[in-house]
Amino acid sequence: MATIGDTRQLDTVDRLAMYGGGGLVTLGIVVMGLINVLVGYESPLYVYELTSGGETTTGQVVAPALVPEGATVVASPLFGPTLRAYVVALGLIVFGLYGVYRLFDG
Amino acid sequence: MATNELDTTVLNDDVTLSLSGPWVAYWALFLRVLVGYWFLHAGLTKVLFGFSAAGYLGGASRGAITEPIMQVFANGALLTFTNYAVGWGELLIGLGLLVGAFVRLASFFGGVLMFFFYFTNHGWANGMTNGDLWGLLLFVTLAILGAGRVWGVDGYLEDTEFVREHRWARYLLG
Repeated sequence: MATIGDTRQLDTVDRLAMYGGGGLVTLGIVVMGLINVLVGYESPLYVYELTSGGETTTGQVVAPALVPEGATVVASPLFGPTLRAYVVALGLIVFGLYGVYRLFDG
Repeated sequence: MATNELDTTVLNDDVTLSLSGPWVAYWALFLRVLVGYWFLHAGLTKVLFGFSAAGYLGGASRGAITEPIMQVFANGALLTFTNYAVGWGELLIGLGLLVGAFVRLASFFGGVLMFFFYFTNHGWANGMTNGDLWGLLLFVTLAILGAGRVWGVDGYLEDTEFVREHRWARYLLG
């Protein structure tokens, strides 16, 4: 049976995808996540407490702007979830662009 | 260097194909690091900030096929044991994957945990093909690839005389 699959050599674009794509996803998820935990933030989100009628409830939001009125932010991660999401998305986009490039590169 | 021919069959059918060696090795490492971080984070937060599986074992498991086992661990000393074992287990599995040490052993126990997570989160709100299932399959993939040999401790361990002489050890490494 004839061999099928990828038979080319790696080039600069492959390396760009590997370092750029993988690097960004790893940075956003692993590096920033570990730092957040090690400096004391259990949750990747902003945590707030809201006291109403003598009862305190806790909630989590992705941005400080979404904290309800009257609530107090009790934990703000060093690397916020929106920043991390952008970094990870950028890495995945690099992988996606690499795939599209290969498709048309022949 | 770049391509390797995988000369093999599936169910006696010749499926020989060529693969980009660097991409396969790179992806094995990438998957290992991300899955490793996933579990390291899960374990580290439980160990550092505390964790109780009581609600999960005693409540969430009701009606699941795992309920008979979960209920046994839902109270007393076995619950205390579970509270420690889950956090430390996840931490060690994640650490093993991150540094590439005992990857097949770590993947086995990761798969065991995901088995319980998958069948105990039985609300199936996201269908039966949910993240828990993908997590389980990722551990199997890492074990099959022997992903610890790519920039991992297992690469060095497998080169030792002990491992070369004891075939069983390769089933723990990889």
